[in-house]
Amino acid sequence: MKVQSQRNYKKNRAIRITLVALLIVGIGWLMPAAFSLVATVVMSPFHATNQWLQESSSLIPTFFRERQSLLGEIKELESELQINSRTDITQQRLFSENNRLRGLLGASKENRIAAGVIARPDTLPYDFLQIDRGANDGIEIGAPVFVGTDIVIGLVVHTAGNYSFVELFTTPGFEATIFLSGPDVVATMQGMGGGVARVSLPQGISLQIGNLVLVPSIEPGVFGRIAYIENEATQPEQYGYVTPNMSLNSLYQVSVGRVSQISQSIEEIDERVRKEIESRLVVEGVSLEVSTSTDTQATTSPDTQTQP
Amino acid sequence: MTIPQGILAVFLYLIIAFSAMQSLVILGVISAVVFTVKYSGIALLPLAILLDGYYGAFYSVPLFSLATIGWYILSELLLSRMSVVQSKYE
Repeated sequence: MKVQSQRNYKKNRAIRITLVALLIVGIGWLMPAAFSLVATVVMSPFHATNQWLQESSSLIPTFFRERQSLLGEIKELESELQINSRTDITQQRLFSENNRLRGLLGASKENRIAAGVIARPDTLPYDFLQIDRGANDGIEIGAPVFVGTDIVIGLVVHTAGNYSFVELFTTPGFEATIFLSGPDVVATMQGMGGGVARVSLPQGISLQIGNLVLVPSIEPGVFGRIAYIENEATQPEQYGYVTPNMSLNSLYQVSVGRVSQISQSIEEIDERVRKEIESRLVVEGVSLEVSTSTDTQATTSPDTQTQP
Repeated sequence: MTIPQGILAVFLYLIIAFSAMQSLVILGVISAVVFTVKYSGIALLPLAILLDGYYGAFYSVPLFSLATIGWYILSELLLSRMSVVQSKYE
């Protein structure tokens, strides 16, 4: 007697079922209309339930529908949020770029040229910059170079057609007359190299860290602040060390002014120093309140008294 | 099969049917896998053929039915191997 193992039996059964299923599918493929009719009749309870789930306002279908629609809405909003955040970043970048360029170009009455910094002291000798604008763009030798609206950092010392070199005020041997806001004195600033300049002052002048250093021969011309003070009582002079307000490595755009912005006359420089001092005489927020209402009795009584 | 098992089987079967009709793919697939492992994949074949007929898939290619036949063959192969390994260590 032939005995069939359980494993073989299962295998044969699976093959038979598969063949029958394929046969039914084949028949269905040959007679699709008949199959659709049969399926529609058999599936009618499922169809009714499905319609109920899709359209009914009962609690359970509504719950599922709303959940699905809420999930879809969340996905849609998330994608919108992503798009908006990217747009927002682009707007912010353009806004900051616009502000920076406007700051570089200064007031509209001045004619400045925006330039990109293409080499800095790590590739050049310290206290030099190379910018990507030259004589072809109207850069003049001796023109002041600004960062932002009013911070002057140096002068153009060499121009080629398409590039220029800028000598910073901190170059060794560079001298400029400065006005020190705070003690309000005019002094000479010397470049020391390494991004540092030094102001020499006699003893007795109250020099403090943070005093603003202005270059009055250049309008507008703020250079930086006193960062360190060297004061020995036995020495006749005290020294204030000045550094620009920004790191040279963070510079990537500057603006170049005109040589005409550098004053030639002493009177003009004196005038600027005087204006700087006078500007600090105005203390904001301290003023007498003057009533604007007119007291008719008070204003008319002297006249009536003088009349005979 | 006990009565609770039967109820669970019917419940799973209905979930599979309505998941297919409501296009809830993940729920449908998970239910089908659980149903196949706990019971058998044979019962899924008539459902797939009916669904294909209901949606008129026999006018072109009844993909749902063919996929279910494929799934049935795969599940039979895997389940038979699993039962062989299990019996070896019993």
